[in-house]
Amino acid sequence: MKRSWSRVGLCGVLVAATLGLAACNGATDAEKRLRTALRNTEKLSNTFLYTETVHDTAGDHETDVRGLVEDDFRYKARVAEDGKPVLDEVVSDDALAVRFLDPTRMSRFLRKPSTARAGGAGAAPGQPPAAELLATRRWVLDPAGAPAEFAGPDTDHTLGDDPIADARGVFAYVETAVDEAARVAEFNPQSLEYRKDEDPFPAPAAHSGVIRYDLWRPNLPKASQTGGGPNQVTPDARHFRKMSVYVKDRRVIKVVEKIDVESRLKDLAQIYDTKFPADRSKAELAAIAVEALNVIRTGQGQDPIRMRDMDFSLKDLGGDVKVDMPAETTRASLALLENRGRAADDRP
Amino acid sequence: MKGVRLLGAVLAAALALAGCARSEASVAPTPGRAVKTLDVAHLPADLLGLKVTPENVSADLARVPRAFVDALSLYSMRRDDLVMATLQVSRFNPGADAAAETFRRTVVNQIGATAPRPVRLGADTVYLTTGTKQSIAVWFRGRYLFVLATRADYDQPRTLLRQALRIQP
Repeated sequence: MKRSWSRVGLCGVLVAATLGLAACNGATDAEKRLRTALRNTEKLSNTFLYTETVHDTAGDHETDVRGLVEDDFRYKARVAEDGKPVLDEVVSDDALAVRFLDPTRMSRFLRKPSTARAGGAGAAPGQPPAAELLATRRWVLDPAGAPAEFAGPDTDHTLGDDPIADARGVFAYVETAVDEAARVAEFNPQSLEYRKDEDPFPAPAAHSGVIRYDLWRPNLPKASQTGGGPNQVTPDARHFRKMSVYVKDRRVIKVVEKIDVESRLKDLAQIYDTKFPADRSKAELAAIAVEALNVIRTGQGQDPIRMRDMDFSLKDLGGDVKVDMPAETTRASLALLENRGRAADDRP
Repeated sequence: MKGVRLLGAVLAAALALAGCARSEASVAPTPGRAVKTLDVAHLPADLLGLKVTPENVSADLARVPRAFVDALSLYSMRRDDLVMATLQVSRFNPGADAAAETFRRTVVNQIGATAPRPVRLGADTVYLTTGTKQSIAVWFRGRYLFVLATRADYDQPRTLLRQALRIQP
């Protein structure tokens, strides 16, 4: 009997080890397959819809960017805030055309004072400057105003500053997220690790041919961690990120992300030896916690954590998508807009 | 001054190509002085208003002991007298596996100062990198290599690139 129990025990160990190894191999293969799908898709023409809902102490704010991409230098996009169209932008090689459908929202898109250029709002001779033209909801064309290259994995770009750049940079963003994830695994509701109540994203429809890849977030850093420098390691977006990528026919068709602080409030309270007030909702506490973390992060020169839900959907992949510049435009420099109308020496 | 700029472009390209001869792609190199002038038959007289002029680079090539190309031409593109861009068209030595991605990467990695980034323009893949105060675009057409170097302060680099992509060797 003793021998048979030890056999059972050994068997259990072996099964556990085998499952563990299977999980390791699966993650590695899943990551490779996901990266291949990203590469297969990122250079294809497409139509897209990017939706970001940001949660902060002031409430929720939604930004949509919908558009079409002919190739890396030609695209068209419309930005909407809280459901209201704000901005149309068309880029064709060096040329940029912009119009504000809601000029009262222009301030978000203006160049930050630290990057503003003298004379940036210049106009063609005999024409009013771009700011005046844009205020009238007219199309303004800057023949050399196209934005600099959109994000690559190494690009220093603050999320939320430029929603069109965020939408155009989703593939680079996902690559970075994969690098930062603890592991990548194919969605498997039968897995022992799977927790339905912690999964904010829909499962692929049965027989749809869609494969979902999940990015698993790393544990929160301990309060004592300094990362080799004098500063305490503060939690990053990666520690809160839930992200899934939906792939069909080896092409990415959808990316969803949730920076989920609520589910890690308990861990935060333990690590930082603090107590959150009991009379607030989890959503409120998460917003307060992120605000506090961001004070530390920005003080250390790091980007703040953006507590958001993001949804990026792609259609017409590789289809015959054409971008035409608007017919009636007025020429002016669009250097007053962030990342637009730059001098040529800023553009690769 | 104009000559210095051109020389810089030629040397950079020639050295890059010479470097390829030592790479994994083992094809018999051509001595620089044996590299012929490449005749690009359908080259327009101007591109986007820039006058296209062939440049004599034989003296520069003669200083390269081993090149990975057997024919090469360099064209300047000028606005008034100022060189705004140069286009180098080269033909790889016979036997070069110019269609292979690894070969192309090897070539592209030796051009420019920054890691090349592939972008898609229409049906073409173009590798973008930078040099000193210049943008560099690299693409392949069969056995032919195109390198377009544009002054950083030129205001229509992408439009020029789009037009240059139409050139067939």
